[in-house]
Amino acid sequence: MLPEAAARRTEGPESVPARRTPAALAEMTDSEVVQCFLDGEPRGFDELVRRYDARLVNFVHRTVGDRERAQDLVQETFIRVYRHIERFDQARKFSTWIYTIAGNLAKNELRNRSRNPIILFQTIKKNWDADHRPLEWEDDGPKPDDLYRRRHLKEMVERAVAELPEHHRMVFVLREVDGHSYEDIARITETNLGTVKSRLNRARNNFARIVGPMIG
Amino acid sequence: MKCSEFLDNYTDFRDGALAPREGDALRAHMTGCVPCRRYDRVVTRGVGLLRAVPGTGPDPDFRARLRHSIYALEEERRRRRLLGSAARAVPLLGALGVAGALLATLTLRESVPVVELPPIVAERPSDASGPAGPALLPGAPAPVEARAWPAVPAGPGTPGTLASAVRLPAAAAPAAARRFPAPEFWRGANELLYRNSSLYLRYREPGLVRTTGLR
Repeated sequence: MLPEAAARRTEGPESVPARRTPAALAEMTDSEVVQCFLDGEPRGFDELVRRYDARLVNFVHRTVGDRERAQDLVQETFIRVYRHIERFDQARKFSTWIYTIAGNLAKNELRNRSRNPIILFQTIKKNWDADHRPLEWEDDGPKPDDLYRRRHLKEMVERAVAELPEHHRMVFVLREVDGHSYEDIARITETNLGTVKSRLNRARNNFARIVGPMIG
Repeated sequence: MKCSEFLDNYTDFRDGALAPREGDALRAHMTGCVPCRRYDRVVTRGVGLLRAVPGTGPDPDFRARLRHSIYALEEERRRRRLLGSAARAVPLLGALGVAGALLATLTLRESVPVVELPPIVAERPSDASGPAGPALLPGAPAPVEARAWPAVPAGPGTPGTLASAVRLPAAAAPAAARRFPAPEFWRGANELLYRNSSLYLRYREPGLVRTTGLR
């Protein structure tokens, strides 16, 4: 991406930036790409962006519920990665690290929004409803017709995710959409395994309750 | 198994984190429990639909904007590095300046030519002034008969010459100089001034008067 940035990281007489083709970079693991970038390959960062931009935008979008804001937050995520990549512990997974950064930014965004009294009321109400309402995923009411259901099913499923409480939503998306392990989710959300399982269980219950009338 | 137990263990069951025997127990429960079977179906289908929803992904200009931001970041870093270098260089430049000034001073001092000037004779006061002036202190070193003094450029009214110190009238100057100091010169205020001067502290010879002979 930036020759200057790569050159900055390759100070020293013997460190000659090794040029890699995009195809060669695409075949590498995340750790190898990070190492290439640290060794002075400027395309390494491009490759990391290519791998993670869409995934992160979708993850943050589903977490904060605002696509434009999600893109801003993912931009900030990549800038932080770029700025601090020398500090990245390569014994860890890069995906966990970058998801942790994005997740923290998303949490901050939600926290900032919660300072708005109107949103705060809605958030409290929604979370209270989700956490305290008895589990009622059985739905005996009338179902919309098939045409409407087909047209809006996917949209409704996304809306169901948006309706989940914030701390459940992130865990749910990380597990069900991005396929992270419990351990990775615990690191990303900076909680313990028990909390992850508990939140995931409640998120699934809530999800089933919301989408049950349309799917069941 | 109760439905509440099923729900409690459902997450582990769905993610394959349950022991085989416990998994079998949950499957057996689902077989006989319509609500729990429906719950599993709803979660599975709902998640399937969610995964099938195409991700919106970033806007086409996302990477261009990111590139721009990172260029700005690099510029900021470069500017800070320059400022940091300048800040580090200021004390060094200051030290170099001081060292240069010292060196220049030494060089200039060494380059000043040394000029040999004729000596100036310091004379013991004549006896005429002796009785009138204060007596020599007992035990004081003998007055110097002749001592070399750096010459002072001569000229009318030049500081250091006797004429300029006393400011005698021009006509009376030669005669007064011969009789200088007058017998009453070392009395009163002159004596007091002399006793408190550095000359007295140095020589303790109130009667010793320098004459330059350059008038």
